[in-house]
Amino acid sequence: MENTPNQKFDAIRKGLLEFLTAKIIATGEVYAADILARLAPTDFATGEGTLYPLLSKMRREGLLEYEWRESESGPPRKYYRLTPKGRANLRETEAYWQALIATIKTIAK
Amino acid sequence: MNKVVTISLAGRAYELEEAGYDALRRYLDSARAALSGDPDLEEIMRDLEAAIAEKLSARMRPGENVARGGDVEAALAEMGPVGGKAPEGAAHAQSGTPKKLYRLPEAGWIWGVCAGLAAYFDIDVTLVRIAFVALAILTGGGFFLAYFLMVILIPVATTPEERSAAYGASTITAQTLIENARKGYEEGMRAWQKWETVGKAEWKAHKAEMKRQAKQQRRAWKHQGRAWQEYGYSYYPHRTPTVAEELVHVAILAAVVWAVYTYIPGTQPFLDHLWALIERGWQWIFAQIAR
Repeated sequence: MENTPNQKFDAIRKGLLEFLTAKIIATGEVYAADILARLAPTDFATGEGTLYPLLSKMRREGLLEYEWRESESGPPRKYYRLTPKGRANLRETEAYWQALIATIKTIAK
Repeated sequence: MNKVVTISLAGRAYELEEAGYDALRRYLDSARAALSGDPDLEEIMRDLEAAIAEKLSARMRPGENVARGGDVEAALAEMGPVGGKAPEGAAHAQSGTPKKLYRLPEAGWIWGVCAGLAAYFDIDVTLVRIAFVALAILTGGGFFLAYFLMVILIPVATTPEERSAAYGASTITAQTLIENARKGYEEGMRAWQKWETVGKAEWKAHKAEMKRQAKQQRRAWKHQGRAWQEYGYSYYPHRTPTVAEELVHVAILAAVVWAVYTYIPGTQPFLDHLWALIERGWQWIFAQIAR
């Protein structure tokens, strides 16, 4: 059976999810549902089941931190923001990504 | 007719149809299995539960806590499968949570020690009770102390996951019991060695992490406590004890006090003193009434 494009690029998407999550968090303080909402219309749409373990891993690596805030509706929420280490890491990934795109564009010219 | 199960998710009560409850339990069990070994397992599980709770609430009318057919399944589909490390085949995810020893007050007569033990060793609870009473008689009441100790030492199963962990997903064999005990011991020894050899910076980071986790735990308790205040304890499946059971409670408490008094040297003067105080209190009250 032929792989659908969706399955074919699974590995790429998986690898890039952390990058995109960091980018979203870099825009300001966000909570998990914000991140999911921004990913939803894209190819990277995912659920809490994937995002929470990822956020927890990034926090352990010192890339982000969170703060509890009360919300008008329901229980308090965790708001995430990047640490200096997380911002440095994001800049690095961003630079690498640009280099990668440049390579892809020029390789066959 | 559908059976309805009441559960507590992130400190809120929800009523689920049996099919929805089963789906939820499967989801949480496989999440736990997929994340096993993750140092933040408990925290992620709490976050996942809170997210499911939020999704369920969004599907209900305000002030209602009944999930209609398909609500749970839809919420779980939105959550998506839980990642973490790559699952080692479907069999791994299906093995469910490891069995843990919990007290099961709602299944038991007094504080659920016997029920918890029975669930853990997969034997009839009546046999455990008979064994307890027999041992209590043989030791002249001394074994009541063991019960009392177990009440203090064994944690109560309050969440649905804990209750399912108390019964275990599969029957546990003596072999796995021994293996678990050995694994626990080895882990303890490793941790101990690590403590002795860690550098100062690592130790500091470890301490900070422990502190963070403790804070997180406290927060969760606080939130749970507030939910209890708001909704009352009623949504934890709990039946009111009958008069006979209350009498058993009182009898056992009396037996425990008597056993402590008789068997633990040094407590006698203290309890005598306490009793004298109570007596004096009574006398004072009677004197006030008589006047």
